[in-house]
Amino acid sequence: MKNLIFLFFAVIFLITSCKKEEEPATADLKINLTLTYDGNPLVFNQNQSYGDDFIKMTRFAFFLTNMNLRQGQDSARLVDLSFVDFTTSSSTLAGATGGLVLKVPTVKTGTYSSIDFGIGLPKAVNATKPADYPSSHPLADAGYYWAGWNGYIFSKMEGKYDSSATGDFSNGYTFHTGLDENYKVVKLTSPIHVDGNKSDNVVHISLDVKKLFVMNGVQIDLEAVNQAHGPSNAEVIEALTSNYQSAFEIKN
Amino acid sequence: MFAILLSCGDGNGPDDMTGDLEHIAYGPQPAEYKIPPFYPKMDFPADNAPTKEGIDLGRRLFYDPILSRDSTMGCFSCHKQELAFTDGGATSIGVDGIKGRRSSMSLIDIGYNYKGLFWDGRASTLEQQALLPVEDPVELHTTWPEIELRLRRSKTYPELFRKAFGIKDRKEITKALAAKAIAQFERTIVSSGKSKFDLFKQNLDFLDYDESEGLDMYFDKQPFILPDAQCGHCHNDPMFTTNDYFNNGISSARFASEFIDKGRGEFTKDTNDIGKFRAPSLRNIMLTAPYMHDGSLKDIDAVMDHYMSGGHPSTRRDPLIVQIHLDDIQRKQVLAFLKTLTDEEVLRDTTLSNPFKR
Repeated sequence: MKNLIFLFFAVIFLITSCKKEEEPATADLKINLTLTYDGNPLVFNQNQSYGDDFIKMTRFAFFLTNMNLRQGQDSARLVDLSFVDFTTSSSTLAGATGGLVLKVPTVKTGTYSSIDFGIGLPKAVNATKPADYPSSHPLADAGYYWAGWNGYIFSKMEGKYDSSATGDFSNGYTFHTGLDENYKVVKLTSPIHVDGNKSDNVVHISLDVKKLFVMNGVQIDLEAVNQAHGPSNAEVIEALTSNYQSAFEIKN
Repeated sequence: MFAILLSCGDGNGPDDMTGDLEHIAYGPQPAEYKIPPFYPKMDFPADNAPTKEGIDLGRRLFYDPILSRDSTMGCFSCHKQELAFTDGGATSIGVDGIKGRRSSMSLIDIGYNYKGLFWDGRASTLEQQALLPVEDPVELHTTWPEIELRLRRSKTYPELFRKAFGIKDRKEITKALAAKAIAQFERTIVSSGKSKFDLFKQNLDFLDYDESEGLDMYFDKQPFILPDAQCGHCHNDPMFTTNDYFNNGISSARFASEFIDKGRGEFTKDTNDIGKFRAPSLRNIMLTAPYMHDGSLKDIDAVMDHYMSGGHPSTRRDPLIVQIHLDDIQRKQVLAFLKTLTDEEVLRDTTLSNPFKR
């Protein structure tokens, strides 16, 4: 009987002394994306100075992929794929100022030194097609698949321009990017704190459109180049997408 | 005397029928929406999964004039299968003979539109959309309480609603259930995947030279050799629409106040949306004249003229609308390609036809 009592307490001791391996502390993180023009919130359908001319933005959307926080060898995956469309949010000053917010739950707390993400789709994803996804998935949207490329449209930038500064915005520009070689990874270096004691961890990332519309070191002449969506304007697409790295900025 | 008269219905009145349907077996058979192999799998609301019984009920409601004030019209009146589920008119005419201001839109592949229904996107789901024509004064012009009463009093519908949705008595027949059933049926109106272009895409048929050249211009597949017909931006494969909203320069209005029909802006209240309308599918385009939201272009040649001209220039015209430079041969080749989008199979599909005409 004594042995049985001993065994009973021994088992209880073993059970209570077994602790689960501690889960790392986590916190929720918000990614706040804003679209700017020359540093100011970009309100769609409103005039923006463009050299001696004016432009208006009417659409800006892109696929954001593989977003990570980095610290040395450590990393935290934030986003696999998200479709970012400023068309509605940027229609007012308040909306443009607030931008879009992606909520990422349970990010490992700590201080990270950089964030990186892709604009467009990695090769393997770009090789898929809308029929591979259920109809409500962003990659099922026929509006972002270009049969001529056998691949997706990574981003759409559309608007109007007034090259005569007379207020006549009859003419438009449409820049659609795509093709594997134009998938660009942007890396932004800045301390990013994910604090478990804070209720609101936010990374503010802005994209300045004025910095995008540059080719060979000069502002794109929209009178001469106002449409790019295929090989005949490959150099424009290459220029636009190469500018992502300098056009994105952490604003924390 | 009045009390006696009022209490005499058709012997099948809704007021004293609690639990009157419980004796009817309820065992709906799950159904799947049939789609071409190159279409995305169709999503549907979690609370309205398709069943054979739901689709059958929806089909019956779609074709039943019981949904109109004077029992002369129904969904089918503006969406005729032989016309790719449009009505052939410039704008549609309702039960009172009043002309609506917009043209009937094709319902083919409508289950794939999750960017808003109608020309202005004012309904976000088919379940919401199906509710509106019944009470619209220029369409069926009645009320849902009236329709619910008719359905509850019907000799047929209570059993069909029971089998589709498991209601216990006829008082549970509601507009929401009717709309769910219609939506289930409408999601079955999907392209067969057997148009000439679809067969070509699957290596099951040839295109002739003109059709092939037209295809390449439509999608700008030979940008160094052929002009870009610019069609694919708004009417992209496989649905031949992006279901987005555009001002395609059809209106000469330059300022918001000048638009007779404010389109999407009327719904969103965003002045930037004034004059925008949803891009319809170009599948079966040869069957859906007259064209545009107001039916103002009577034939496909007028449509080609419009887009080649770039439409009316204005600040509000979409940036994608530009002058298109095609010569006469190239224009005919684009038209030849558009003709390959006619889907005879869906026009003859007996599962989509009027069940009252068997």
